[in-house]
Amino acid sequence: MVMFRAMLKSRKGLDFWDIFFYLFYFLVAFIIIFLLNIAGCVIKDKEARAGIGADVSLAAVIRADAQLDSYLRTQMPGKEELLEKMGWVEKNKNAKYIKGLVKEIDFNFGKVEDFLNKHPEVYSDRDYSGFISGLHPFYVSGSKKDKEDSERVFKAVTAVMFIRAVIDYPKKGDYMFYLLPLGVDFGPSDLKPSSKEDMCKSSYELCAQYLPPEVVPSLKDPLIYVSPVRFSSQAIQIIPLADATLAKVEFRYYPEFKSRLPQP
Amino acid sequence: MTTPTKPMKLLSGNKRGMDYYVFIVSLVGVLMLSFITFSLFTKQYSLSSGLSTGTEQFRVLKTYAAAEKALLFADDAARLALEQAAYKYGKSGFYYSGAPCGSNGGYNYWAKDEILQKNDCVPQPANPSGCYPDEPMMKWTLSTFFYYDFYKFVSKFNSISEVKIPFNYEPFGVATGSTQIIGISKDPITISIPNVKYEVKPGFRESINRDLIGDGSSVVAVAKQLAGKSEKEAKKIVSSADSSDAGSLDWNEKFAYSKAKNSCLYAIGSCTCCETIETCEEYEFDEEGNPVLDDDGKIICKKKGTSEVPVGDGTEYRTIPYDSFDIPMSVRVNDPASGTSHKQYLVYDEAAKKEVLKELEYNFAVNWIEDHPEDSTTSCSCGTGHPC
Repeated sequence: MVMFRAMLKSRKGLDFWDIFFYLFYFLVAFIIIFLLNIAGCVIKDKEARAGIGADVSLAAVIRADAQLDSYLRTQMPGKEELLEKMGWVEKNKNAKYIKGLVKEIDFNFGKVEDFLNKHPEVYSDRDYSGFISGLHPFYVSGSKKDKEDSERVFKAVTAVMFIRAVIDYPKKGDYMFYLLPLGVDFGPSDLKPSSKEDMCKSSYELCAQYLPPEVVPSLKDPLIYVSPVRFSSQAIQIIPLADATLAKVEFRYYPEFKSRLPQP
Repeated sequence: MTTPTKPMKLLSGNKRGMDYYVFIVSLVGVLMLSFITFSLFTKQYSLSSGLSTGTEQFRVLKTYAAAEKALLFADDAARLALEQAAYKYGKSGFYYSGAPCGSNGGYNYWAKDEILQKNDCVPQPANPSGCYPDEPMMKWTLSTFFYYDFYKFVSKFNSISEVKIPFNYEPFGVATGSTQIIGISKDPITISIPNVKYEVKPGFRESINRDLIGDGSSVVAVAKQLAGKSEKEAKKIVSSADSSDAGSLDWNEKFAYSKAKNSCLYAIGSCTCCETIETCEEYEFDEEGNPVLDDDGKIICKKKGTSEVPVGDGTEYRTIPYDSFDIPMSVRVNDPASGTSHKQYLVYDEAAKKEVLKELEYNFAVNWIEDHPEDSTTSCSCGTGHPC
């Protein structure tokens, strides 16, 4: 206390204004540092929740894009391997979780094998994108048989190459097979994705899909987006055809597919 | 010890000066902190802006995905263009704009003789430097066909897509072995959105499992042996080159050998031309031996005849018969796995205006002439009259 009074009275010590300015300075500094450390403390709860959350649908679209790219760049297997895979489907076509797929893709092993034997140029030394463009001349040839063959072969080959399985469903060791939708439109008028949920029925010339009804109930011609729900994410790719026209390929990804599976 | 400056003396030596000094330091400090705070807050989106975490990052990823679509298209287009170029390359006999020796029936000549009047009907090669394509010509032909086919695909893509593929490549390189075409783009694909600019060059390296240049060299090597051979010898050469192994060249199926007779004539000098005129061999006379005249006062001719009179010079020609031999060849590639047992590519048929599967064929023709001067004849050609 004595020392404090001495400081106030002395010419070289601190007086009231010195102490005031120092206090003022440090107070402002403290407030600013405090504000910097708790940015967002004045925002509303709703804004904070939106800011911390992430846009999952955007992530799903990016995933769909990447998956479609990888599909299109997949190298086609040789004839023996393709037929071996199809032979497996043929052998198990009556198994519980295959027969729905077989029916959906109109699988006919004999006719598909016949086509693959006659036309190796459609898949030999090509990637999946080249396979699609290889089917185009048959689809547009004007022959009903060629058109049906191309549709059937597209479905069968797409299925054996990209079919997926959820294992241990519904019981250990069992499989549920599904095929995410992939559609092709030759000579499209635009590059917009299909607005319908079931794109194979509504939109595309070549199309393959199998979504087990246990997981994706079949709805009557719904739209892809019924606010606030978007059922799937869509990716579009353009591929060239030999006659210098284009084909549009659409792929659907269901981000919540596995979560929709009923638990065993 | 340094001597304080005058302003500093005023500030620190004087009690009132010390008051001001502290005030100034405080004020400057507050202003600086305020400035830093303001700068920091304006650099970030506030949480109340409605943008969720990772939005900017997702936008960058979407930009990358959009560029990947264009790159995938470029790769696919390059592959299709290469197959189409391979077919055209073989069909045209490895010449993009016609062989220097000409063509016949769609087959470019790799060897051709000509026999011309101006050369005294001596058979000579139509092109003294020959017309067999070499490896640089083959590579140039393939890359030129590829250029125009690839351009068609890229144009189509650019007409419909917001992201454009630039068509500005270094000259396309052709690597041999399994034929590979390499595209090095000079310009990048550019995608600009607010705060993001993404660039990537659409280069590519596509190949087909056929050594087109190697095939070309093999075909040329055999073709060089054919000119001047009899049909039997030519067939033997072709048969020895032929094979039925997968991947080998099929020479035999479209072998054709034709021989056409013709002749060439050239001037060797002049000859005399004559004209046939009417003469009177016997005139009519009366009993007294006087000539009998007609109404015009002319002596009546009792017996007429003809006489040859020279009317000038004509040109004497020598005619040399010759045989012209043609061997048009269509060499295909064995591919037992293919429906037609030969390598096929999916190409666009301009005439039919549709895609068709066509067999890869290496087409060419060789031609040579054998003259027969021993069977030559001479003749006189007269402008007026006839040879005497």
